[in-house]
Amino acid sequence: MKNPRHCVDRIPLAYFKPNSTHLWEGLDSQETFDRNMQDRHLRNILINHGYVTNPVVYDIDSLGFRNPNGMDISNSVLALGCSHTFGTGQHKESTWPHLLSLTLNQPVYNAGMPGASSDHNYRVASAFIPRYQPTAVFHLMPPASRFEVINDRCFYQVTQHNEHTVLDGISYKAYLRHKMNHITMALQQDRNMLAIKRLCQRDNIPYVCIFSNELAFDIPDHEFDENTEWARDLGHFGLGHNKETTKQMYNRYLKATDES
Amino acid sequence: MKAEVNKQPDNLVDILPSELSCYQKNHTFNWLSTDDQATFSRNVADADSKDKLRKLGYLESAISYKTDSLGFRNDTVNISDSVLALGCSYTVGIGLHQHETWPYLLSTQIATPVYNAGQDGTGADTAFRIARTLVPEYQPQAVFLLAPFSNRFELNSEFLPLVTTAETNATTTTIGPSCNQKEYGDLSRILFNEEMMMVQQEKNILAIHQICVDHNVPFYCIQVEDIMHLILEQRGARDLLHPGVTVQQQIADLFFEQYSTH
Repeated sequence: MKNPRHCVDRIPLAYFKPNSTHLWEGLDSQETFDRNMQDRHLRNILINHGYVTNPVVYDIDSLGFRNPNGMDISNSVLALGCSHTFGTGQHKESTWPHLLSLTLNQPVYNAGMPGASSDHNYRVASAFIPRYQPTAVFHLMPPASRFEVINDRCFYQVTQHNEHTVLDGISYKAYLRHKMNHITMALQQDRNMLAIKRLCQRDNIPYVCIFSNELAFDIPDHEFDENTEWARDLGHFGLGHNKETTKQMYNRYLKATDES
Repeated sequence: MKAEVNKQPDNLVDILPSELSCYQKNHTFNWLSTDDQATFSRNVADADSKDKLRKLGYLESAISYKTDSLGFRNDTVNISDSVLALGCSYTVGIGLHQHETWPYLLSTQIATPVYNAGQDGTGADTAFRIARTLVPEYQPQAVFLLAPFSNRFELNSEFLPLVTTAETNATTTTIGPSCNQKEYGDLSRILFNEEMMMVQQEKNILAIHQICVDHNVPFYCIQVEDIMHLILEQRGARDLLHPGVTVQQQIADLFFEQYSTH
């Protein structure tokens, strides 16, 4: 092939500083938290979740992902996804990769990245799977309306919100005008999912992928437990939803390994 | 309070454009793409080019491009009993008789009909979209992908103007770095860098391969960029731009070698 793979391998996979600790991240900002605390109803929700007495901490490993340092990816399950996988606004113990590790009784390496697209998930998969040969790959597909733009030194996750963004002197207006349609978005998700599946099957690694809409997102109001369903930013889902994600991931894993 | 919800269509194929091909269906063209009458007339007016055309036999023998009911360069649609050929103009056989194209030449080697689903000017994005529809629906005997240049992206968009010429009926547009630079200046700067092209090409090939695996269809692939040394040697098609039958035979031979080894 004309373009050598190393041109891609030199692009960073994560935007967190390696070996760092963060008290806030992205939408889970102190500003949002302080604003929510001023609302009586929202404050009660935050208190009931334990976010006031037990703040969320994000520990980032040497590769820039939310894991304890020194994890051996070769002997772990690899979890791919976006903030719902990373656990934005959630204690590490509430994230689905952590819950899955308890269910499987084996370590799960969380390669989720806030704001990530399925393009980014593919790039992480193509870097990690051949190199580390994880024991399985679980993938919570990010929203379709995100694409990754890469160049020789960095990467951007682009969404419909970037219409007026100008990076390196490049306007993203035309790019988004041509990408933000349901056909292109669905095809790109499908393409990424199939490509990751191929990387896994090539090395006999089980692969489970769930699109968010396959999960019980549309919870009826009367069944929605405000004390477990929210992350600290009150924008991402919380423990209850992550338990459901874990359950469905595990069921599919059993089915996939049964069939093979 | 509302989390961002990810909606994937229940059946992706249902939302894809029903028109897979940019060519008019059930039609016979005398000229197609870069093999146009203006180019031919210009070449005939040039002594050296005319001599080349004479030696290649194109002064006496006209080429016709016949499309089937799906809009691809075949006599009939019989994909289930055929192997599927995907690619760009090198697969369509621009400037060549149908019997000179690698899909046709390969069909004689493997003694199986080859369905030519090539689309000129397109990239691996288009090959993926076509495979995503045709492979699950028809489960061909095998898929042969001559992966086009990686500097081509397909953007299916209801916002894009349809590209319609006298001889095409496109529902999608493929943007190459050489076209629309002004209008798509920023877009081009985003898409056409080594990293973007390499990753998209890689994932298209992997994804098409996986579609085949999921449907128990053998998959074979050659990348155009890996055989440029062959292609540049001989521009023997009628447009004097595309490779001629010698290169087409070499491509068929390379595929046959993969096929035989498999």
